[in-house]
Amino acid sequence: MTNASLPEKAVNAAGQPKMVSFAQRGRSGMEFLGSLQNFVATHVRQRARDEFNADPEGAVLVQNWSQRNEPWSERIAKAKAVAEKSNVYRYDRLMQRYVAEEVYVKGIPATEERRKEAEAFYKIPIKSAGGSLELDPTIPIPAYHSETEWHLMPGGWEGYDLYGITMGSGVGPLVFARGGFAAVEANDDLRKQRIDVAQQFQKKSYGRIYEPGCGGFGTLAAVHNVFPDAELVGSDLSPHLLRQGHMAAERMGIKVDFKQRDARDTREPNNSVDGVIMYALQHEMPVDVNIDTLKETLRILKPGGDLVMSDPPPFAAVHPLQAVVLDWDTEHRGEPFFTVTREVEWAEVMKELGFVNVEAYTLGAQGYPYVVRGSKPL
Amino acid sequence: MVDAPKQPYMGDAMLDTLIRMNTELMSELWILRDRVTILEHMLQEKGVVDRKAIDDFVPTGELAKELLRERDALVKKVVGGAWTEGFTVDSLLKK
Ligand SMILES: C[S@@+](CC[C@H](N)C(=O)[O-])C[C@H]1O[C@@H](n2cnc3c(N)ncnc32)[C@H](O)[C@@H]1O
Repeated sequence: MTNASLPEKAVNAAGQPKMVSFAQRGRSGMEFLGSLQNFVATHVRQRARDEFNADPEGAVLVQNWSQRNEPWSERIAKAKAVAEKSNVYRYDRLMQRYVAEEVYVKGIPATEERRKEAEAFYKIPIKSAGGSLELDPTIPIPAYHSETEWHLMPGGWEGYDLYGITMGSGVGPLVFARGGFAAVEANDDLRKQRIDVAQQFQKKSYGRIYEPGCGGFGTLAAVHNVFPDAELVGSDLSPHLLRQGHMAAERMGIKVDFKQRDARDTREPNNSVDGVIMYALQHEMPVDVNIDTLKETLRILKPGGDLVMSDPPPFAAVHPLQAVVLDWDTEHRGEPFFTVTREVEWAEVMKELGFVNVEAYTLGAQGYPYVVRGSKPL
Repeated sequence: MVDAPKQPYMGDAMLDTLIRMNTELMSELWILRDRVTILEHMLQEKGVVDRKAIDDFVPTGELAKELLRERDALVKKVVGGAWTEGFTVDSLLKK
């Protein structure tokens, strides 16, 4: 099929595939959710934080938050009890939940309305950039991955064939781009944050960079931006996300090899990659899976190779109210491992596993993006 | 299935429901305002109406009366809804 035979709407003046856009109701409804979440995460959250600080028990928690001599579950429970005294905080949470639900409640019908355009979009032939997509249906998918409805997404990552459009045309640009959810602050620039994280690789150039749990092409695109000559490999469990990523990379003319793999078993040879990046992967895996993934990373890295990892900050690195907000995602926004992975100081784990030059630090004012990096010994 | 939250966020399920309704109304209001703005823009682009003319227009005569009537009825319906004190066929027909 040539571009000329496609519905006129599907291509722009230059004959390039035009991203599908929502109809007026869907678009403006999503934009409203973006505004609402942005306002709540700034003005409403600040009021909740002021009330937290003004509370006598809250003030004590703020003072010695990271040094308190009690398990995280107890510290969080105390901070939560203070937070929940505030109606402002409760309203903030209700609105967070409302937006988290509505991005799908409104976004899926808005996508469905554009099914014809979406199908045409996916049929447009792409000039290959030389990248590849290797799906392997025999890979065992762990139950935690297939049974979770991540972020309240009905059916999980594979639950709807057009989630790529729901996210790419709706939730991403119209809601998430305004920030103010989970660890992401309102008005954060998500694209720039990924580039900032890719810049945490310390060498001038890298031969081969591998991203386990790459989802689509978001983080590898940032890596390409910083290291245009690096050979890129991305892997994930989700065929849907890998397909989206492959298509996006090819469209942008960037060669990437996408593979369906479990992060714990990449099948890459020992000592074969110069850099590994993990972005927003850790909080979507149980602690033991994270540890096995770090071991696998150490195996495939060349001696002297680097790991850069970015995920929401540990509880210890944020204000107690922010810790309560992060913990909240576990029960209320389909993030079963948010809490357990925020309790761990990953820099310590990496040192125990044998990484050297391990550092943990934050790039943003409120503790996000949070980076842990280290290297395989020479 | 994505289940409904287990506990009401505001401590009372009805309060959550009211706030959700209110937010949904705000969403509908915005969707409509977005549409009206686009409508005006497109009408102006096509030379049908001048947006400035809409801003400068002062309703008079029958149109002014119609707007006054509708405005008062809206206020009565919305604000008055909170103070309903029983009704009869007559009182309803008078509305
Ligand atoms: C929040 S997404 C982040 C995606 C990507 N790194 C980015 O920066 O956008 C987390 C990803 O981890 C993947 N994932 C979870 N467990 C995994 C595992 N054991 N092996 C590989 N990928 C996994 C999920 O499929 C999902 O795509």
